[in-house]
Amino acid sequence: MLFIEQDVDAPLGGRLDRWLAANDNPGTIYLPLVMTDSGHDISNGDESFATVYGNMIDRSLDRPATAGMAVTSSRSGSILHLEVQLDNRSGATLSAANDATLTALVWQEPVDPEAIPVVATARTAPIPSLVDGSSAKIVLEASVSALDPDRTRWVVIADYQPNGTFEAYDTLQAVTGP
Amino acid sequence: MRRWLSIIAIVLVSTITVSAQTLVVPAAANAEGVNQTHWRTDLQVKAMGEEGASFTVELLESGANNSEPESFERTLDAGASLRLGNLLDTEFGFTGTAALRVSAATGRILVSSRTYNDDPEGTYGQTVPGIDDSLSTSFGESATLIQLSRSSDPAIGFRTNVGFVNLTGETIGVTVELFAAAGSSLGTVNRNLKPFEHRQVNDVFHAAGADDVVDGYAVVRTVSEDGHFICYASVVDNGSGDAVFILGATEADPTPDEARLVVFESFLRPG
Repeated sequence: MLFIEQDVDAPLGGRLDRWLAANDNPGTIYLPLVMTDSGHDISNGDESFATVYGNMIDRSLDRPATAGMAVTSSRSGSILHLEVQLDNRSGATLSAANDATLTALVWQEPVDPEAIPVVATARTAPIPSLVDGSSAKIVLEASVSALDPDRTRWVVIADYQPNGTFEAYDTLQAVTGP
Repeated sequence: MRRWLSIIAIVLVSTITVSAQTLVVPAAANAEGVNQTHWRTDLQVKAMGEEGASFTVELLESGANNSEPESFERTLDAGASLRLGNLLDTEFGFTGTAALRVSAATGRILVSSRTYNDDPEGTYGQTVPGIDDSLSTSFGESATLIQLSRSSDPAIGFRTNVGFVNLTGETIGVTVELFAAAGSSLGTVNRNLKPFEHRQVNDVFHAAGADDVVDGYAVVRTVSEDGHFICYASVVDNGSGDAVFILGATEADPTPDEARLVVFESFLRPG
């Protein structure tokens, strides 16, 4: 379970695009915009946060991962190096056709342990054509010069659009570290 | 109508083709049962293929640590078959119940047995096959026994005995969960098995706290990571003493779905 936050006016890593792809409400939307599973489940505006967000989290917890993922991280100077091993178990072929993507979101751990971390930088990489049951190794590198090495944290999210270009994304799996 | 209790009734007509060198006959007896029954086991071993075979028979006594079992050896010419009548007595001088481990040192062998009530008016019993490792059950797998029944009236219906053979040199734990036909759980029986121990739980539904079970089944697993065993059921007609031998059908337990890391993302304006 991981909570992360972004500035809606300076979104990183195409994550806000996931929320917008999932939104089919033509009416006015209000902040905050929230999502789980890359937009499989979204909400917005002033709500009964505990109930609505709690239900979103519960629904996500009930859904098994559709990919295996292991991430090895290392930092060399200002570069964070993330080597991702992805095992596709989605039942579909992952490719550019369904915008299968790896996204690394990086932040500095807040001093206040109660504070929600704010994403500082992001990198994305397309997942190469990967049939169900096969694996790939993909490398992501992010410049993290502004982040304290001892407090740098990251999450790698693998997602895709299972139902077509104009439909919601869905998370295959995510891994956080270090 | 004959009634007999306490001793397993075992036998079969086995046609298992042997590819492994070691086979286990998971139940055998040389023991007196109720109602003047006399349980005996005959073992049959045949050399397969065009070569002769030499083999060892080891006695895995019920309830015992069988790390150093009693044994004897025999040889067979090509194409020959050998019947060892009441071998627990004639070869081992043993009284009681046991399993038998038959290992081929050379050649290939086919093994079967019959355990029966040696009644002067005619024998009856069940065939117990020699079982190779491919039919055993390991940690992470389950063995399912079907066609089980229990009557709370010992004069009618059936009773079910479930037996195990530990195939490892370590003590292992096994659990037997019993179910009604529709899948509702009726209870669980747990046992620890010493190295290479044979153990039988008689009237297993009663041991699990169940009463009458017209149609039930059991799922047997080991809780020990290195556990490896054979299990069977012997379902006995309370009225006639007729019994059938049922070997556990093994399959791998389903792999639990990998959990998804839930990432809750929010977008807002700072401040």
